[in-house]
Amino acid sequence: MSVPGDDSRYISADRVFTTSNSPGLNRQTNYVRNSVFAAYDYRDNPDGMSKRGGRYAVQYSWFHDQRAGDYSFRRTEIDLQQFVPLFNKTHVFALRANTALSMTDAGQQVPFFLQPTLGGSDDLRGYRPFRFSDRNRMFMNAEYRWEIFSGLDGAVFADAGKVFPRRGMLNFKDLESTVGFGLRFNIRNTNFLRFDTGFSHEGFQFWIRFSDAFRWRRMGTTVGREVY
Amino acid sequence: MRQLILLALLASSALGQRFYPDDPLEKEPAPLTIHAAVARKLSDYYDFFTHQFGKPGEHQPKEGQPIPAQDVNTLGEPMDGAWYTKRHYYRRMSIQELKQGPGHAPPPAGSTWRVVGAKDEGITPGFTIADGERRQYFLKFDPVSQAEMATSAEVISSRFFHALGYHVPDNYIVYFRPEELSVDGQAEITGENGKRRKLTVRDVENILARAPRLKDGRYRATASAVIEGQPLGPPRYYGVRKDDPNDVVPHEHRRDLRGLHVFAAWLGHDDSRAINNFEALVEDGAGRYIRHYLLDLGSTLGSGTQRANSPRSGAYLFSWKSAAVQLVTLGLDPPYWARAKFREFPSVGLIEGDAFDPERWVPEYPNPAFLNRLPDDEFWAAKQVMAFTEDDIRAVVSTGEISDQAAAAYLVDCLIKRRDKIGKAYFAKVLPFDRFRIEDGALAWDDLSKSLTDTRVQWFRFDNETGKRTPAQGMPDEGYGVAEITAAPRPKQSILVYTQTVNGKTRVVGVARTWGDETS
Repeated sequence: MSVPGDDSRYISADRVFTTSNSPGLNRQTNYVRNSVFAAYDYRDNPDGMSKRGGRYAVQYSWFHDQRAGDYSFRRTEIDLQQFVPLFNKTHVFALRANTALSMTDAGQQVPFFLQPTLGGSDDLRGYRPFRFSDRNRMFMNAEYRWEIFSGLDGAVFADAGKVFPRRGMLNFKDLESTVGFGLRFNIRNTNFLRFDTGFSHEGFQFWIRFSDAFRWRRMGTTVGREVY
Repeated sequence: MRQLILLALLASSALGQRFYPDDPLEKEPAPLTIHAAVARKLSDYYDFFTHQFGKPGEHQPKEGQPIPAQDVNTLGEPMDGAWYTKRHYYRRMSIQELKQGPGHAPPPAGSTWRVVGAKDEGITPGFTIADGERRQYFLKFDPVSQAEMATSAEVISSRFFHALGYHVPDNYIVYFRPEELSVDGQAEITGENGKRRKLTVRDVENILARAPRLKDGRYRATASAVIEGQPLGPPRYYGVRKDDPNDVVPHEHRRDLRGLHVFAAWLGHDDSRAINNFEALVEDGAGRYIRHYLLDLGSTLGSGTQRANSPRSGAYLFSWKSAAVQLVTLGLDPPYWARAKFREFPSVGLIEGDAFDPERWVPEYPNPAFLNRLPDDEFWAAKQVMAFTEDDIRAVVSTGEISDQAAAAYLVDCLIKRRDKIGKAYFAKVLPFDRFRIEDGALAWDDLSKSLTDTRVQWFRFDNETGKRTPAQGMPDEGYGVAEITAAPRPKQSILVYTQTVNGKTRVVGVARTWGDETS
């Protein structure tokens, strides 16, 4: 049971989010998830700030709805990262491409809380967290990082991405984009503090984070986020 | 009152006298005996922030005459003593002596070594062993990914610094099998909870697990002989020890510390901070005094001890100007060291000789002694670096026992290139003439650059009491004389060589160098 909001300045959430655009809104379920995962990782510093090498990972997951029976799906996620160093690794071009594609059998849906999202400190940095969500997602990041002094790197970046309902829409059309700049504080080649400011047509976002933007997510998941 | 006036007159007379009968001094005066000195620790972070954002010590004035080095004799040479001993440049060492370094004897191989202490934390875990003769050594290891790197750097650099005149510990490359170690029943280690506890075989195994193991099952380590005497901690690069009556020259004005900049640049010793030096209260024939050592040389020659050195070696970790430039230009004007091209050998780390610039090289953070160096300090150091022939360098590098011959050859090649750049840079800032002597009744010297032929000598009589010079026709037959040596291509550089003739016998008693408008 939902209670409509009564502030006239805003549309009530129960009118914005309905079961048709937010599957699983009114039904709780439990999941069993299986995944297979493969990665080729030859980054020079996989636990810290990578400056050379690459990481190519793919994961295929099965999400089995154990209760409602309507929300089982499968997902393929691909994450590609490449680091190109210049000037003895004092300058780095860091590139990333990521996509998450969901597949469902007839009569099944991807619940809104497990849909891939876009927007936030690690993908489209000019948008607020969870700004976009749908069954599928793709985004790309390009960062140019350079050493200001030992312990601080500067960065300028560009992000682009979109969410989309059908896998056939995996292309470079209608991308949302962000540009921005940031600072990365590091010690012993590990990024411990990051300031990023991203600009989009919706305004700007300022981020303070304690990890690398391209950080590797271990097997496991947080709601709506990548599973590795 | 009359006595006081007489004393004042004598003092003023003595102050005006440039040379004394015992000049030039070869050794520092016998040290005053020290009965007790306080051991002190120095925080690495404190040292960094003090030097990075402060200006400890007395710095060179921005205008006027600079402050010359103060620990030198009238020839401009540091004297043998608690800091420094004249070696390879002054009395050519044989290849064998260069390779031996300060060493007396490595721990005997094949015998059982008792582990009497261990250090499991910090950058360089290792343990202390005692051999059959109860001599103690600290064993340090290479990182797994860089076998031979830190151990060879430690041994090679200690040999170089010894030949350059510094006190360094006896360092040896040793090989041993785990079964050759036995844990002493009294040995202790600091546990994870910070408390001391008994050292166990497991602790030793844990330390060894972080070291590379040879195919034949042995381990390779640096055995660094424990320095004799009472350990007192690190000496700083500024000021003096208040509890050391022999420490009378502020460290930032010591030539052996100012010139250390050049040696550190040559050997890539960017970790040349106070905490890597050491003082010990020792007792020998000279008495009971504090001796000063260079220590922890594993971060040299491209080694960063636990990893290959950073390519930024030779630049400050932080500098306002450089940071501002990099920030504003978005890094589009990379610093010179970022353009260096390295050949990467696991056993050598990151060192090169092509982009190396001795004039731009600096340690990780500002060092007041290094910053105070003047062209004559640099020349003093450069002439010693240039005294190493290629064979000398090759011989010293061989003591690192680098198994990859290509890596060893590369290191030798880098050191030769860096040596030559040092000579080129610092022999250009003062007239590179040295080893002044009287030969066949005439003043003679060596041109260390072997390039300046058009020289001119102008003689003067020299009044030792007043410092007044009067022109003379050649070297004076008696008393003090001074020869002003100039070379045509360098009008602003000159050298004053002071002589003293007594009973027809002449000797060189003083040397002063001039560059620009400044004189040493």
